[in-house]
Parts: sequence; C-alpha cells; structure tokens
Amino acid sequence: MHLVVCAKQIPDPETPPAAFRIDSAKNEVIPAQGIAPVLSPFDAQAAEAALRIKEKAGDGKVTVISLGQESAQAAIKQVLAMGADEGVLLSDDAFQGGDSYSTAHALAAAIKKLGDVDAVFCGRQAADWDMGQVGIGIAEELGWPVAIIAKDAQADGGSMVVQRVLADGFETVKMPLPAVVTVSNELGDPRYPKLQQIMQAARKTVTTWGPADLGVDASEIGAAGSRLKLEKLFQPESGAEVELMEGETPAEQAQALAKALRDAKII
Amino acid sequence: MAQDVLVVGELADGQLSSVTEELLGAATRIADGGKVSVTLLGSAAPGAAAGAFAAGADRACVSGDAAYDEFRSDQWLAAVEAALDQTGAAAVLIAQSGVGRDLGPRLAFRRNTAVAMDCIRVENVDGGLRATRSAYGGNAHATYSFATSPAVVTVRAKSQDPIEARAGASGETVELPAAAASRTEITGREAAVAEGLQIEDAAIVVSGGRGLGAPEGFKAVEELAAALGSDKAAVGASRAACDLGWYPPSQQVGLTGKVVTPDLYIAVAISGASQHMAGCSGSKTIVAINRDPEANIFKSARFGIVGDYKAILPELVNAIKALD
Amino acid sequence: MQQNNPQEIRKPSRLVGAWWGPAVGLTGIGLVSAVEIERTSDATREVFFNVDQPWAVYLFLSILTGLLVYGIGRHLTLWALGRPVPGLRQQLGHRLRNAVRLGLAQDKVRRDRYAGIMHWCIFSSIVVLTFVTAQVAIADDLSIHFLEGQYYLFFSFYGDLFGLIGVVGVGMALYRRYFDSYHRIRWDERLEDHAILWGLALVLLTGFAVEAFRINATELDQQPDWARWSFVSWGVASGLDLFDLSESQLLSAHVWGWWSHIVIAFGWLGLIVFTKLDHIFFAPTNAFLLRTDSPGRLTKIENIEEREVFGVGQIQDFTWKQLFELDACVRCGRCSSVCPANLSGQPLSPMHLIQDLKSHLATVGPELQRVGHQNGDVRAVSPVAMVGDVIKDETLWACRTCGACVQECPVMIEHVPTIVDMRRYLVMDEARVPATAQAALENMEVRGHPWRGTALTRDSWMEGFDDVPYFDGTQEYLYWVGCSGSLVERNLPITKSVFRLLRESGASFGVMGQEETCNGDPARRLGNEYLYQILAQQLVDTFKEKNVQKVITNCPHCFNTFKNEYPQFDGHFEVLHHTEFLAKALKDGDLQARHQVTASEMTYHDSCYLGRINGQYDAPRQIIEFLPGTSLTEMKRSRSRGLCCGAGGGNMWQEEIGERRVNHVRSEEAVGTGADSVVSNCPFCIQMFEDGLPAVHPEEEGRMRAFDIAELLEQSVFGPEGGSRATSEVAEAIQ
Repeated sequence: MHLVVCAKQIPDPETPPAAFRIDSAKNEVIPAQGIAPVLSPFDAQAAEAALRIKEKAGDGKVTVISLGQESAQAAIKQVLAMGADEGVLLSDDAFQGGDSYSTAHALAAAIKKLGDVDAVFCGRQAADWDMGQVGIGIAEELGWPVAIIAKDAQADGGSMVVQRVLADGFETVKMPLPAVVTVSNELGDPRYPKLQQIMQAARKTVTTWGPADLGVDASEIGAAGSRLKLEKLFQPESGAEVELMEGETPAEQAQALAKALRDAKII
Repeated sequence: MAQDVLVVGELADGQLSSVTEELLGAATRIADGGKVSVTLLGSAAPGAAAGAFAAGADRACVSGDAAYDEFRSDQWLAAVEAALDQTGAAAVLIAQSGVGRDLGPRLAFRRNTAVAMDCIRVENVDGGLRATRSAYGGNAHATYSFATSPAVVTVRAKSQDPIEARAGASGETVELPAAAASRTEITGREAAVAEGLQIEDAAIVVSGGRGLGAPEGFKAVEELAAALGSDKAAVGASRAACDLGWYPPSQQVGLTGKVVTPDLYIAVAISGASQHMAGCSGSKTIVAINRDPEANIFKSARFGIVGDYKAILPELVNAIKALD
Repeated sequence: MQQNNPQEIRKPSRLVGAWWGPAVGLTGIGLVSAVEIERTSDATREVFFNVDQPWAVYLFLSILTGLLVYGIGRHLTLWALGRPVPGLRQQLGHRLRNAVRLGLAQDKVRRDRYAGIMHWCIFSSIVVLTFVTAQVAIADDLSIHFLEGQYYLFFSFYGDLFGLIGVVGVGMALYRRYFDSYHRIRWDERLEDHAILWGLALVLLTGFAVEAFRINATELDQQPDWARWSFVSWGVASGLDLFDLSESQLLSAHVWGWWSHIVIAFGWLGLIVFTKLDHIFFAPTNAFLLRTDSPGRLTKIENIEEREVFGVGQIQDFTWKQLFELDACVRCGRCSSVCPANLSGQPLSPMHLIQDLKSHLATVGPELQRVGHQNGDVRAVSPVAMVGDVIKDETLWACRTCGACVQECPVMIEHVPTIVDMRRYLVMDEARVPATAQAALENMEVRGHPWRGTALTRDSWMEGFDDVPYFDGTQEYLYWVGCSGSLVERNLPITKSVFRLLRESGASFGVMGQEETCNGDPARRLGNEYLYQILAQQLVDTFKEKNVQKVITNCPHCFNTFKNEYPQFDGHFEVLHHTEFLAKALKDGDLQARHQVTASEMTYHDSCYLGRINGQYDAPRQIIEFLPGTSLTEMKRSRSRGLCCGAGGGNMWQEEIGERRVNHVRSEEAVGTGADSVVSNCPFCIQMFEDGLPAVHPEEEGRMRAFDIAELLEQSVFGPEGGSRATSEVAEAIQ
C-alpha cells in the first residue's frame, strides 16, 4: 500500500496569547520571538494513522507531502522520523499565499504525480486557520471518497474502514480505495520517534517539486488561485473585567459567588 | 443589493433543527430582498416545509427519499447541487455541524468556488457576502470576501438569531431528485452521549479541565451541576480532560468539540486556552474557578474565584442549596 | 523547638573507623601488660594439640582455595560480558582512598549506627581471628617458634578479645534479624542470611569451646597464669570444672570440638563463593571502582550520532562495573528504605531492581557467554527483554534521581546511572515514554522549555520592573532565571525576589530574557541524551559567545547541570545557587535582613540537587539564621538524609503510579515539625509543596505555607510593604 500524509507547518498554536500579534497592514500574524513553527498537531495524528496501517500490513510505503516554505522541511523530517519513508516538499513562490482551494489543488496534483497512491491522510484541520477543507478538497479533485474526523482507520482489502467522531457518538463507514481520511485528536497521541529513526530521517533527502513538476496552471495555485479573499485579520476585543470573589475562606468565596449569581438573576 | 440565498436544512425529530432556523434568520438578512431557499432532505422533509416557511424560507427544495435520513455527503451533495442549479443562489449557508464540515468544502470544490468555515458573522456588503470567522485558535478573527460564486459559508450554531416565526407563511415547493447510490457504506453507529440534558441545550454548563488533576475531580463538578438543577445544568469538559480519558468526548466543549451558549458557563480548573473559549465564549455569563490567578479564563469571565476547586466546589454546592 | 543555631547541627563524623579506637586501646593495654608481667616466662603451647590428622586442615584449605578461584572465575566470565569502563586508571590515589575509607573503614555502614557497631564487631573479629589462625599456620608450617613467651600470652589475649567482640557483633545481628521490628533486612530475606549468621556464631562458639577444653585439660592446672590470658576460654574452662570431667572425656570433647570448628569455619568461608558474603571482597573493590566525579553528573554518550544502540536494553550493554556491582549487593535494603518512590508505595525498590538484574545476569549470562564464543557477538541474542520484562517500565520512570539510594549504599552501588541508562533505552531506542513525559520532551524539543501550554513568556516576570539589565558580557554575573522561574506562575515571585535582592546587593549582573532556552536537564534525566546534548551544546555556545563567566541560578537543577555536566561540553563556568550568593551577600553586609518576615517557625527542606548531590546544606540555613525572629526545626530526614519532594528525575511531568504521592509524604513530614512554614530553594520543591500541603491539610486555616528562601529574605530586606508577594495576605493566613 502506498499511503500519503499531508503535513502542514504552522505557527505554534500554543503561543501564549500575550505573545500573539497581528500586522494589520499586511493582514498577517507576526511570528512570535523565539517561538518556532511546528507541525500541525492533527497532521501528526494523520501520520500516526497511516503508520499504524503500514505496520499492521507489515509492508507498504508512507510518503509525506507538505506545501510550504523551505522551513517546512522540519515538519517533513518529523513525520519521516515517526516512520514515513519519503518526503516531498511543494515549495515555490507560486504556491504561497493560497487558500484551501489552491492548496488542495496543488497537493492533489502531487498525489497524482506519485501515481500509485491508495489512501491519503490529512489532519481534520490545520491548527492555524482551522478551516478543515484541504482533505475534502483533495478527495474532490481526485474524485475519491472521503471520511472526515476519524478516530480510527483500518485498511480492509480494497476498502478503508473508518470510525468517525460524530457530535453524538461514533459512526463506522466503509469506502472503496483509493480514498481520503481526515484524522482527529481522538485517534490518540502520535508516537515518539526512536532516535535511530530521527537520525535516519535527518539523512534522508526531501524531494522538492515546483509548479512545473506538477504540471499545474499558475492561475490555479497560490494567491492567484485563491477563491477566498482575506479582507481583514484582527484580534477580537477581550471581554469585560472579571469580578473576583472576596473571602477569607473557600466557604465565604462560594457564598459570595452564589449571591452574585442570584443578584444578577442568573440562578 | 439583493442576492438569492440557499440554506442547507437539517432536521431533528421530524422538525426543522434549531440551527436551520438560525441559518434562515441569517439568510433573510443577507438576502436583502433576494429569495431564500432551503433544502429539506429525508423522510420527514415534506412535513418540515411549513416550519421552514415560518422561519423565513421563500422556497423549499424537498426530497422525501428515506435514503437521505442518514447523512452521506455524496448523496446530499448531489441534492444540494440540484437545488443550486434550480435556484441559482449566489450564497449557500450550511451549519457548522457534521453535515456542514463535510458538505461545505465538497460543494465549494465541486462548484469550483470557495467556502469559509465556522463563521460567526455573515453580512451582505454591496451584494457580496462577507463572512467573519475565528482563526489561530480564537486569537484572531478573519473577515473574507469571495472571488467566485456561489459563496459557500458554514455557520457556527447559536451565532445567528432566527427571525420571529411568520405564522401561516407559505412558499413554493420544489421537488429534488431521489438519492443515487453512495460510495460510502455506513456499517455501524454508536451513540456516546450522556443521558438526559444535552450540553448544547442546557441553560447551565459546568465544565471541568485538566486542572482537576484526576478523573475523580468530575464527581465534584457533577455534584455542582446537580445542585444547580439536573433539568437545567449539564456537565462539559475541556479537550485536555477528554484526551486524558477523564470524560467522554461527546461532552467536549471547544473548537473541535461542542459549541455551547448557555446562560451560565462555569469553568472549573480550565485554563481557558483560546481553542476552548471558541466553544463557550457565546455564553451569557462565564464563571471561572481556578488556582492560577493569571489563567486565561479570567480574561473572559464575569465572575471568578481564585482557589482550589476541591475546597470551593463543596462550599458552592452548600451556598447554592442555601439560596432556596 | 530548637533555637536557630547552625553550630548545633550535627555533621556526620569523617573520622575513619572511629570504632578502631577502643579496640586498639584495649589491645595496647594487653600488649604492655603481657610484656610487663610475663617478662621472664616461656609461655607457649603445642600447635595441633591433641589432633592426629592436622593435614585435613590443608585439604580443606585447598578445597576452599579451589572454590574461591572457581567462584571468582565464574563471576569474571559474567562481568566480562559488560562494556569497558572508561577512566578507571585515572585518579588512582582518589580510588585507593575510597577503597580504604568506604571499603575497609566502612564509612557508609556507620550511617546506621547500630549496624555500624554490629558490622565493625564482626568485621574486626574476622580480620583478627584470621590473622590469629594464620600465625598458627605459619608457626607450624615453617616451624618458626614465635608463639612463645610474652607474645604467646598477648596472642592469647587479643585472640580471645576479638573472639568476644565477634560474639557481641553476632549477638547484635541475631537480635536485629530475629527480635527487632526492623523491616528492611527482611524485604528479601533468604536462607543464606540465616546460614551466614548462624555459621559465624558456631565458628566463634566452637572456637571458644575448643580452647576451653584444651585449657581445662592442660593449662588450667599446669599454667594457670598463662590460662588467664585467654580470658574468655579461661572463664569457660573454669566453668567446665563444675562438671568434673575426666581428662579422657575432655580430650575427646576437644577432638570433636576441634573438628567441628574446622569444618564449620571452612564451610563458612566457603559461603563467600556462593552467598552475599562475597561482599568481603566486592565492597572494597566497588569502593575502588566508585566514580570520582560528582554524583550529579550522568555519563555522556560520546559520538551519539554514530551509535546504533543508545541506552541499555540488554544486560551486556551495561559496563562491567555495573555488572560487578550487582554482585556486591548484600540486600540490606538501605537504598529502598530511603527511596522516595518506595516510601510512597510506588513501583520502584532500588534493592529489588539490583537483585532482579543480578538474577537476570545469572540466568542469561552463561548463554550469552556461549553465543559470544561461537559468534563473537554477545549482542546477537537476548533471550529475555531485560527492560520491560525483568525491569518494568514504570519502575524506571518512578526514579527521582534524588541519589538517596546511592548515598546510603554501604557497598557503593550506583543505582541512578544504571536506571538512567535503561531509561535511555526506553526513550531513544524504543521510544516507550509515558504520555505526559513525552509531552514535556516534545515541548523541550519544539519550544525550548518543558512547560507545555504555559500562558507566560520568559519576560512575564519583568512586568513592573523597568530596569531589568540584559546580560551583555560586561557584567560579572549572568542571572539565569530558568524555565520554571519564568514560565510557571507560582515561581514568578521567587524570580522577582532574587532579582530585587541581586539588585539591592549591588551585584553586577544581567539576564537573558527571551534568549534563555532549556539547558536540557529534564531531557537528560528522562533519558533523552540526544536532545540533552543538542540543548546543552547550544547553550554552552551561547554562554561562550556572550562571554559568560559566572552564573547565578534559581533552580538547583540548572545549578547542577551548569556546574557538573556542562564541563562535559567544554563549558566551564563558575556557578552559584542563589542561596550561596545571598548567604555571602548577607555575611559581607551587602544585604541587611532587618524586617520581620511572615514566617516565624520554619522547617527547611533540602532539595536533592543542592543538598545531597552538591553538598550545599549550610548556605540556606545561614540565610535563615539571618532572618530576625525566626526559628528552625529540622525534619527527621534532613541534610544528606533529606527526602525528595517527588519532582526529580523528570517526575514533575509524570503521572505518579502507586499508593501515595511523594509530595504528600514529604508534606506530612514538614507539617509534622509543627512549623508554620516550609522553606526550600527549588522551584520544583515549592510547586510540590504547594500541591502537597493542601492534600495533607485540607482546611486552609492554619495550613503550612511554602516559601523559597529568597522570598522570605526579600521580605526581611525590603520590609512588609516591599515584598513581591502580597505579604499582608500571607501574614493574615498564618494568624
């Protein structure tokens, strides 16, 4: 089986709110000092899902693809260290500034170029923009079925059996391969790489492809291919001041809170 | 400027779901005199049309095919595309639900256009749609316009107000085709949700986080909810607590869990990461109980107690009981 | 409550072999008397009196020698499975001193006073009686007649004296083993423990009996003045008179006694080969092999990028010294009796860990040896998973690296490096890491600090100070705040206190702010040596670039890493813990502690990495002494016996498994002193007390408070209005 993991490098979602700044002239996030970008956590879980299938099957290949700048090599290496076999970076100025549509378009073209792919795993959403579209977009571009928000995925002959997280429970779906799965945190923690694998990953060469390699039209990728136009990026205003309950003891604080809620006619 | 709007309706217990009513409310506002259509799919759909008209729809695109009862995105996509062809709507509103998360992007890609997910504000600016959503885990808000048509938007539940019901209103009904075969087979379904009051419907939600220290901490949280009234209060949890296996994922409040907008949200030992706040910031009143006075949750809370929940919750239960 | 007086704090005696004193004295008196009284006599006795087959002794001796050679050979083949030990030929003088001080003089045995006396009695008795026996053999074999006259009498005297001392020692041992409610020696009690003890008792008793029969039969009547020199046997012999035995009966009893004595004595010596009695040789040897550098330093894996195996997952990946010391263990249980994890009912007992490894070595060793001979590669097979099956993962994770076990071990076993070696295997080779520890490791790797999800930045503590100087190479000191000092809410007041005190003292210093990154200590203790080396090398380079010479740290873990471990990366800095700097500033008059503080009766908790591992017990206590109106009550476990708070060895970031949490146990001990405050010097300890104190004292009223000593000193220097913490609120809470 040839499995593909789509991995995105994003600004650290755990950046302390105090260090989060926006350049409103450019509509961009200002990278926080000393806080390096990270692999989107859901994408690490997507890699985990793919690697579990490969391990269970006993053979197969996992290729990790990232669309991003040169620094995204780090995200690719991280997935290689987890156990992926090959890495591809889609890096070219023409790819930058895109929306979910242009990103999915380029990734789908790369998957087509790989040729023999059986399944694609993406995070349920990237933890920066939280859109949750690219996996579905790839499926649409390739004409494959997709199961989103998976907590478990198992290859079963020519099909993929996916357990999905619903608002009120779980659903098991079966779809023919090739297919796309987007993975949620309910899958569990991604593995900690063995040092031997980290070293091997460090020695691996990541293939870089540009638009010409993929044969995509420049008007369909990056900023040019974007259907969604960002008008304004801003920090929401924070709410009112908190009123802290006074009291010498927990009992007094609790009584003060109960009274405040009653006075405000909330309870 | 007027524009025609299509709403993808969802049904619950044979009725229009509350989020669909909210979407119809938003649709009438952004239509600005344009026509509002709604798709209704599933065996209960024909009976739900009247409710849709009362909630603001001018036209209902209906299929009573029972194959639509369970959501399979390829089948629903075909139906919504058919409705879109018939109505020529310039904007499509879908709830940010299990349906919208799947159908929104599919529809956009199928129609070679764009979708903005999980929007909390939709506006009609000069006949074009503007949608605002949160990003970077809630640290930022982003407002988008659309370069292509139709503009597809998924909308966060409880972010929009429904219109006042138009009693006896009627409208045009259009028949949608029956479902074609799906490539996706649903082989099993398992409910995993607390019995009784659901957190989305509760007037009061008491949530616990990683700061509880152990799964046993949820006992104290449950006791507080019980003291507030089991008919009014439900128990939620942060993603950290759910990931640790302390509470079922169905009770998770936050960006990747449930969005709740109760009258009162009590966050116990929750630090208040923006991803969590995305799920509860619509609450009318937030109360925070946390040992760390610098915890982010206090920035959004109206009332707060700095202290150890183990000492405070039993006292709060007593104090609430003493009120009555 | 004891008044605050550092002079009264008892220091462990450094006198080598204090118990030699009285014995040498007594022996000396005997020698002088013998020379004086028997100046003219020609006292002697017949060697092998009344025994017809003395050659049997030599047969036994040959068998014993053969057994010993066999035993050592058997051990050697197993030890040889281990990897080489680097640096063994260095510091030979230091090693010899260790062998004498810790091996022969048994400095550590005396940390348990009763056991110290007991063991000295037995040890000295065996040494002297072996010497006595050797002289008899020499006198007979070489026909040198030196056992005559004055020397014979003196010889009789000290032989009996040390026989008696041995009896006392054995008596004490019997009491402790059978009558005392003393648990640790019974945690892994085996048949050999009884055999060794009873065997020795019989050797001594039969020895006295034989001598008594001989004296009764001969000297008692013929040379009563000689007989009295063998004062114990003389006493017994005199007692035998009551039975009115005939000479032939006496001679017959003597023969039987003699043979019993010989057989039991050789049998007992034979136990050396088969039982823990081998510690007679292994303990001093292990003292010689003991590391000569700081116990706070873990070994560096050299050329880590070129290795194929990083940790120790199989027995043959240990060094031969690590295998050797498994055999030195005597199962005394001292390590486990002080282990914080074991005390809290968590799944680690250092003694059992060592014993489990020892039996594992005995089980798989011969097979490995055989394969090694056939294929030349002992790595080729591993019949059992040592880490995981023999030693459970949770056992390894429960270790706090607090060093209490190493400190107490009377045979100088170093448990901590062995545990960390296996952790290295878990983390780097197997990637088997508890989820929370994994999160901390990933965070260190990705974000340069272990505090996942913190809302603070490294500048947060500076809010309200507009004059925080950044280190630029011109200042004398770098004030290293550390991750815990800047990213954990509770520790911000400590950082602020230290900062204000440094400023007040007039010290020339600066901070690194956002440029600080984790120095790697938690990664190393958790077993990720690779991550540690990356972080450490980066920071050493940064320090050198910035021309850092002297560092003041908040945190004893940073302190230990900079001081003891960075030299491995060619980073040589003068490192001070804030307590060391502040104590000196107070003594020099650079700081004046004038004001009352919000604690009056306090107890002091020694953090492991400042105290036991780096030996700094006094500076913090000296600061407390300067605080007006305060008194100090020591906990039962203090100074080198201090109990870990529970956070060490990366356990700050782990879920604890077991009956109790270590910090609850330690908080209970602190509360038990009756003090109103527990004072420490480590951000981890403070966090652990902040969690543990409410658990053991749920009512907020009257609950003990936890302070870093710098917080109190800040109050005392700047007054009640000037503290970083809301001191009035604290004062109210205490009243």
